[in-house]
Amino acid sequence: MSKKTYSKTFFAGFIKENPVLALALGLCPTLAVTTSLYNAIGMGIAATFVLVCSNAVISLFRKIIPEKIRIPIFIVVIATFVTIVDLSMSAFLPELHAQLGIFVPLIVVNCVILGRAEAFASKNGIIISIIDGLGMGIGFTLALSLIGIIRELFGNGTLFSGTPMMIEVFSKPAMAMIFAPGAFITMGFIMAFIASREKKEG
Amino acid sequence: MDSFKMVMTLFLFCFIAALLMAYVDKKTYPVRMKLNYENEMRARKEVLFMKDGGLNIGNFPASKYVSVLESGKNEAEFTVRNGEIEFKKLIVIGKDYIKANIEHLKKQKGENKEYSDAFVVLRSFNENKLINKNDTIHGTEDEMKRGAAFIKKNPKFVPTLINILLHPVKYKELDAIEILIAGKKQQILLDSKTVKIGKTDIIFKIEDGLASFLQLADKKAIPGQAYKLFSDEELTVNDLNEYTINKYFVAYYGENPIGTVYKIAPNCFADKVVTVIGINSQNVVSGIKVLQQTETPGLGARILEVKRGDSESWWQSKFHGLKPSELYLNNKDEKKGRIDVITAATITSRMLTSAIRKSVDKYIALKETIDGGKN
Repeated sequence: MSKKTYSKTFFAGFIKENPVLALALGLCPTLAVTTSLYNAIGMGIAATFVLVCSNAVISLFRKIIPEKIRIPIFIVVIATFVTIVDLSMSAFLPELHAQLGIFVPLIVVNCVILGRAEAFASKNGIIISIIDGLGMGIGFTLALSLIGIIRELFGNGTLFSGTPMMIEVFSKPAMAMIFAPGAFITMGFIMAFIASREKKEG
Repeated sequence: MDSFKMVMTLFLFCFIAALLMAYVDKKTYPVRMKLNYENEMRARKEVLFMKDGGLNIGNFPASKYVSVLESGKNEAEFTVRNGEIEFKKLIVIGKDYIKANIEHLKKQKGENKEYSDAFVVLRSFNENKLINKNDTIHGTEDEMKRGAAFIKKNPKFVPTLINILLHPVKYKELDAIEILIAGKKQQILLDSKTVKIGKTDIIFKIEDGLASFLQLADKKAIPGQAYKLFSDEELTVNDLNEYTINKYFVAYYGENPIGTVYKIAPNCFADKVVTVIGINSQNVVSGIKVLQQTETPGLGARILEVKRGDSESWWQSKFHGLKPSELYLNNKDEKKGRIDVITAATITSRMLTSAIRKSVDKYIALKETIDGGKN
């Protein structure tokens, strides 16, 4: 495969096929975790790790996985990596783990990961699958961070909360932005913006 | 044949996955357990030393206290009255003296023990009556017994660790200090290091003890870093109640119980929220600390949120110095309450507050029955 294919696959996940903003996959963690930038980045990195690893393993074994039981096997592979992430996070990043709570184990059922395993990794070679996983993961992280930063700013009046660099921007924030509606509104605006740009570019 | 192959493939994948997960679990287990343990130990200490309503030397019974060196000299004298501490005398020791002292102690101990550092023996003293003026009370059991008898007779003896806190200079360059306290098996918490004192008799480092102590004397600050002894006795109470206190740990300063720490795990919005609660001897909550929770991120999980520049979660800090009657939410209905409701996390706030209140009530009742039974 040419270099062009690789770079195209890699950058596809950023905007054009962004799992959250274009494909609208994995909305459960998107809604729940993006209350602050720190949480969003933590979740994004965890999901990226799982995505890359599961894509690699699945594309490696794609020829010996029987078609009929491919979904259970995908789940087993993904669950393994999620458990690894969960355990390592609770050991080495205990505060972030405490903040993310239930949503780390829930990466198992994240549609982005299962979706990429089904749609891409089970049909392509290992290197391009890893690149796809990386691109999708970064796209997922970017989308989460963007939503997180907006919601945190308007909903909590802070930036970078949870880190030592926390800044209080204003004191009476619009609480609704922290709740689920705020996530939908933010996401809706971002998606509309991207769609309008794409239309203009034609 | 086809189905056999499928079953085998699935089984193989599951098997490898299980092996991998078990490996990671095994690798991270000690780290996680250590973290949990350290968290709980730190929390136990912290909840007793929160800013308001916390414990400090001012909570000691009014009396005259004297701390004594190995040589028999009084190194410090101070009185505690109505929470005020007044120093009458304080000796700061020079380095030469320390060296000589350490040499002396090493000689006394003999060469067969592999302690790289000095041996600190601290003595209780009251009203100018020393036990054994020129001797040390470590070592022999007979001396230990005498020490214990002395302490029993004179309950207002100098809390042994004051010595160490007063003389960090003396002990600063040492890796470790061995302490024997009247033959009692006790646990010492000092800063982040936890030490079991018993047969092994080891050990902790000392930092900044003097500063905090002297600040206390000036009433400028309360020593957040503490020097507490937790009794090894665990009291187990079984009760088919959600707010059962299974074990509680009594903190002693010398022989005086100065506070109690226990752990509860009430059901909140998502799951059990493991919380450590500290109560001082006046039955006032000195602090709480949430150890584990799985509340909703951004909502209920804000019970852990720490504001910039603070060392403690703003929500948990509301509990400092509250009586059980004040442990209510400050909604419109409950004007006496002092606890804020976290926006959109009403259930977490309410459940945890009421669990803490019930547990405090329960603890007070329990304490009364125990105390009543004893007397």
